[in-house]
Amino acid sequence: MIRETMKTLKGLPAYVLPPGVALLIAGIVWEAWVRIGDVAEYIVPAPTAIASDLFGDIGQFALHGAVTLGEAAAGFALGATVAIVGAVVMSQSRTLERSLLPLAVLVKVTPIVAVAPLFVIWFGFGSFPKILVASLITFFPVLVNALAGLRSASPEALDLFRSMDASNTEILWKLRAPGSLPYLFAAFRISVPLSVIGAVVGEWFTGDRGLGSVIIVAHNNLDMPRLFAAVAVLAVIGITLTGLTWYAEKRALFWHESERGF
Amino acid sequence: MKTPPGITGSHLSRSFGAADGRDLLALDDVSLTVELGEFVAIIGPSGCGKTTLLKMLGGLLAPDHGSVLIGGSSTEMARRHKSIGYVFQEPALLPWRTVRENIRLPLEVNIRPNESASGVEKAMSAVGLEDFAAYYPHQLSGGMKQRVALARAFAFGSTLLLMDEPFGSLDEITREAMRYELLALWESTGKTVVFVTHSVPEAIVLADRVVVMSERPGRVVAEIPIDLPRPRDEELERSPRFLELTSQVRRALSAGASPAKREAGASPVTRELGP
Repeated sequence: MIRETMKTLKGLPAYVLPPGVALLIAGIVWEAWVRIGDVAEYIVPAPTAIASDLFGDIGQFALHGAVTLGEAAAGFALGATVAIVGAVVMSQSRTLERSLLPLAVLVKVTPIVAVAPLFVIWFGFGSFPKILVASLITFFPVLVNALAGLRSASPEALDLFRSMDASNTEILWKLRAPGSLPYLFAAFRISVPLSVIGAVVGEWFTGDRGLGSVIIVAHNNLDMPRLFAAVAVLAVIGITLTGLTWYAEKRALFWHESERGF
Repeated sequence: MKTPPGITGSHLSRSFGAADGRDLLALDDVSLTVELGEFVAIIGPSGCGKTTLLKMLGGLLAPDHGSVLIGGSSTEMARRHKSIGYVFQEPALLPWRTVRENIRLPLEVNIRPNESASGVEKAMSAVGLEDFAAYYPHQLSGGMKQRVALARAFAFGSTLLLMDEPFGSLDEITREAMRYELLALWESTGKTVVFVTHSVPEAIVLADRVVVMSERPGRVVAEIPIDLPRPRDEELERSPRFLELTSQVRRALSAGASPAKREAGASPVTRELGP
């Protein structure tokens, strides 16, 4: 396992270096454009202005970033757990699936921005309404994929288990659950970044903590460097979470076709 | 009443709903008795209901008519007591488990008293996979995967093995080698085996008796006892008796190929029954 990890890390520069260089070039072009074109700071700030705001107040950004990250993580955990439990329940009976899945679709098609203010009225100004928004937005992709994954067992494997008179619980834990992991991780790749969006949207409506509220305040004051800095921190959080998901997937799905040849 | 110790399938019929809404008769009044410890091969053209028959014998599919008894009790009881081992055309390994863990699987579900894991290592070395115990299925060739599936079926205390074209997806060279590995494995355990195939030499090399089935709807057209001495090896495939049996099975197959041929070929196919 350690050797595998080393191999993975050794391959990392090939993935990090090219986009890093591209980003650097984009930054230089941006900086040059703002300086040469004399673009007003309240419209587009220069990367150096954003960086100086960011690093000048790094403690505040770290604090608000941690709040947003925590809400996103808690929301993801809650949404994914409810979705997985729901998928397990629905996978046991088509009738249950037919009665519950439309409700889940209803939750999905309801615009999240429309219900976020409602959560503030119901649950106040703390972290909870934001966690709820984040969990609501992560819920559906995980539910649908978990359900597809649990149903993906091959007919031969099912016959094998049935020929030994395996119980439904044994089939679930030894066959369906491990077989659903590739589907689950595909959902996580979508849901993890969504959970950050959910947390930020939740923060727009209330409270004075989190990067979402930093963005709203900066927007009201036309403080563009601050707004861009908050967005940059969100991007870093997004990249980190995506990287972690990718790493967890590599570790968990070493046996799956999608992981060959790296 | 004397309870038959092997498998008795009597008057088994089954039809399936076809796409156009009509029922398609897959199996028509098939009766089959397999003695305890006997190796029976079922051979027939594609779509003749061999797999359907095997699934009925294993209790994975209910017949429309007829009944199956295993050791005198129902297939339900046989499954509950884990008397049935299955090998499919696809190895059906769990890709997240190592070779050893895959072979151990039957011992981890529906756990029965008096089960021991001693068979796992024995079966693994019998198919020559002891050096690959910690490998995952994706690291193995097609032939090795099917060996794992064989070892898995032999590693636990089942008395009956049902094999559905287990070598059907392998290349010819691997396939021929696997015949003799299966023979060695079977001869050391003495399990009762029902083996579905559409390879004539495979059926003759392996079986005590070859059951020939007709085209759909599947019927038994001949039962040919294979009186070749055991233990059998590759030499046997060049013996005159082997060639005789081969043409006998082929004649029975072509007689069952279509209704017209069945009428015309009624005389050469004498229904031969075992001693």
